[in-house]
Amino acid sequence: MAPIIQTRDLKKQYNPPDGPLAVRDVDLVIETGEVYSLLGPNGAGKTTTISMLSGLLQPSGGEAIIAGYNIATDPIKAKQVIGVIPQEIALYPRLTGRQNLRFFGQLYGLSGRALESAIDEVLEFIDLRDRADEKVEKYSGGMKRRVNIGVGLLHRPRIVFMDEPTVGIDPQSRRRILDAVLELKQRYGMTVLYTTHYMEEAQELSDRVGIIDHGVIIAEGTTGQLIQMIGELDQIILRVDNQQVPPAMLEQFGNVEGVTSVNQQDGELTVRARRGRKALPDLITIANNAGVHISSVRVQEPDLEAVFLHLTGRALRE
Amino acid sequence: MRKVFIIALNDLHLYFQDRSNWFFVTVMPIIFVLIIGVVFRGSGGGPAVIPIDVLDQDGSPASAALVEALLTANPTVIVCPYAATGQPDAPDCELAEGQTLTEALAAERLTAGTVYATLTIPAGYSTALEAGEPVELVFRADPALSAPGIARQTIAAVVTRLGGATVAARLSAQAAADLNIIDEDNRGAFYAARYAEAEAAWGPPAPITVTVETAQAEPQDQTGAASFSGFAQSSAGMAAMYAMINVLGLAAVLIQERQDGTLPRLMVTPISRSQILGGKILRGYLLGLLQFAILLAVGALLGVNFGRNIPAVIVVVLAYVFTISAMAIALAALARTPEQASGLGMLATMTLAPLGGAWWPLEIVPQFMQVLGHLSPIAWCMDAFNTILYDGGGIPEVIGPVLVLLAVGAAFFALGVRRFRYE
Ligand SMILES: Nc1ncnc2c1ncn2[C@@H]1O[C@H](COP(=O)(O)OP(=O)(O)OP(=O)(O)O)[C@@H](O)[C@H]1O
Ligand SMILES: [Mg+2]
Repeated sequence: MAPIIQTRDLKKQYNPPDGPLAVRDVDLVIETGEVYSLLGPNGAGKTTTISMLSGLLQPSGGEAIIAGYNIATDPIKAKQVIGVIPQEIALYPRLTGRQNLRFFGQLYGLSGRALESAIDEVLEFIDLRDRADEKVEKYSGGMKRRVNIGVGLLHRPRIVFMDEPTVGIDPQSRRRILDAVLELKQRYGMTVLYTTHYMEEAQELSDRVGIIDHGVIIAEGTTGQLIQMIGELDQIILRVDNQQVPPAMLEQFGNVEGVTSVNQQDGELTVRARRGRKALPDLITIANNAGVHISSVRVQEPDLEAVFLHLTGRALRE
Repeated sequence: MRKVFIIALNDLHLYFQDRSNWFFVTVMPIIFVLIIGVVFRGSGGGPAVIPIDVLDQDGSPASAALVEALLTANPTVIVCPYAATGQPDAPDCELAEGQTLTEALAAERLTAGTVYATLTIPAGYSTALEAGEPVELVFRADPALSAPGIARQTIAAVVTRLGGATVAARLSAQAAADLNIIDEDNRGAFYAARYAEAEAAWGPPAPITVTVETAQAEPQDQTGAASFSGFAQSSAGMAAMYAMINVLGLAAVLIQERQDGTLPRLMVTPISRSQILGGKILRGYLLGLLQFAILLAVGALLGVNFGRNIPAVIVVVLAYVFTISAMAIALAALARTPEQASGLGMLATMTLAPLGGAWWPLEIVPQFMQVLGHLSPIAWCMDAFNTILYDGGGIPEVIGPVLVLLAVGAAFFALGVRRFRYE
């Protein structure tokens, strides 16, 4: 079966010819029923990619096929199978939650009883039944986010685009949203394209993850595959704050058995080692001898954060 | 098309959810219609000239006196074909060389719109008058027009005066004749008799009455407002101005929605961009129509006679509201922020409204201001309304201004649709 989302050389340059190249030659292949995360830092090109896939932005090059429809030449049909949940809350604050759902539902071609039952089902799903008839402007941030999600689900889309839906909300609401994503996949068989800069979210939710940086997908696969790719190294993070670190000390770090790389960023030394816990005493001794005070130590088993750091030399979150 | 309506209705719902917007569409414009209407009541738009024909079938000194009295009674009522040529602003209603006014010709001139009304002095006028019998003059005019009303009032005034004089003359003539036969003994009886006669003569019916007959007149191209009604000016003018204010408000809404993300969200639903913009324009359009409906209804309640020309009024309103809706889209394309759009919209309205004659009739401003004023779409709208209200114009007579409005609208529409940024 053909993949439900497929892009070829998708590009976007804002304000050509001198504007930034926000997305460069992205080739995505996403299968039906998959949860696929685009993981990348601020400005990586996640929203731009989603905007092109949802027909909001005209790509500067390449093409995108959604459920068999080319988004550029067959936009109406493609949009009918997509549910878009934008990064920023996009609702009419003066309308109630229910009125917002009804309005957008009508634009998706729903009407009458079908519309009302879809609204009820969505209200159930986002757990907002009891507050549905209050104006959105009176909602808390978390409730607004949930209505924002609900609007994208009304017409039972086969594909859902969720752009950083958990930014800036409390842990409880965040948990609910993550559970909702899993439910969309498991209960409704929807395909989800999820973007985030939280590696834990990508790790928990995704069947596959694409790591995006400066508009390029620099690595792609299951979490396991990505970690394997960087050789399953542990990370030892030593907090040195703003002390001067002598280059000789970093050189000595590199000579400790099992250590493959040493990085210094934001008052932290990140040492990657095959067996981190074994190398740790040696590292501390070397630092003591160099007169560098270590204020804290963390040992991290490999994760997507490490993958990103390995690939870009930068932390995912600054 | 259904989705276009859904968008427009949702927008109108949002608009009227804000109570203050009700105020801006109803209370405030109505107050201005009243104020401006009262201020301009009775003031004329330039020299008002109402040509009428007087058909004298009696040809007596008495009928000539009536014509003479009419000629001087009201400078705005021109009595054809007797009026002195060379009179300022005299309309073209003289008879051709050697032509005489007959009943048929008078009827023709009335239908053709050469004159607003025909007054017939019937044969036997003077005889009846001298005999103290009631006389009927016949006044024919198109009841849909307001101009003949002025003429009729003038005639009524003249006739009352002449009637009074006739009675007085007759009574004194009789008194003089009676003098010879009066002796001292009969004096009391004489006074009693004279008193009774006078009372009978002055009592109803008046010696001369005017019967009004109706006639259908062709629309006229006479310039100069015949009967200038303050409320006609103010209801049409304020409708044009408030429709512009409220419809231009659409620009700020569009930009706000782009910022709030609801416009991009509309764009990921399965509808085309032209449907989205169409829905937004329809919102502006319906609001503009509503504004006209409210204020023209208020005008009608205040006695403005839209006559038999409702279709022409509708055509003008449809064209003008298209123009301002297109202006709103162009404004949305040019302004960057909602505040800028509101400010520019208000500035545009407050310039174009007085310039175009929404506050006062353009006839009272200097010639160059009249020309300059036609930069404003409101001027073309008001021209069309004046043609309908004062000259009895129908759709053919307002085609000119309507075409101008449509052309201006089309230009703004093309600019707006091409330049508007959705993201
Ligand atoms: N409308 C625009 N005009 C010009 N440049 C833009 C525009 N939108 C985004 N960019 C630039 O394109 C790049 C990618 O932006 P994008 O919003 O896609 O990133 P993102 O991954 O979604 O980031 P975030 O996590 O902050 O949402 C950034 O460098 C951004 O500055
Ligand atoms: Mg983004």
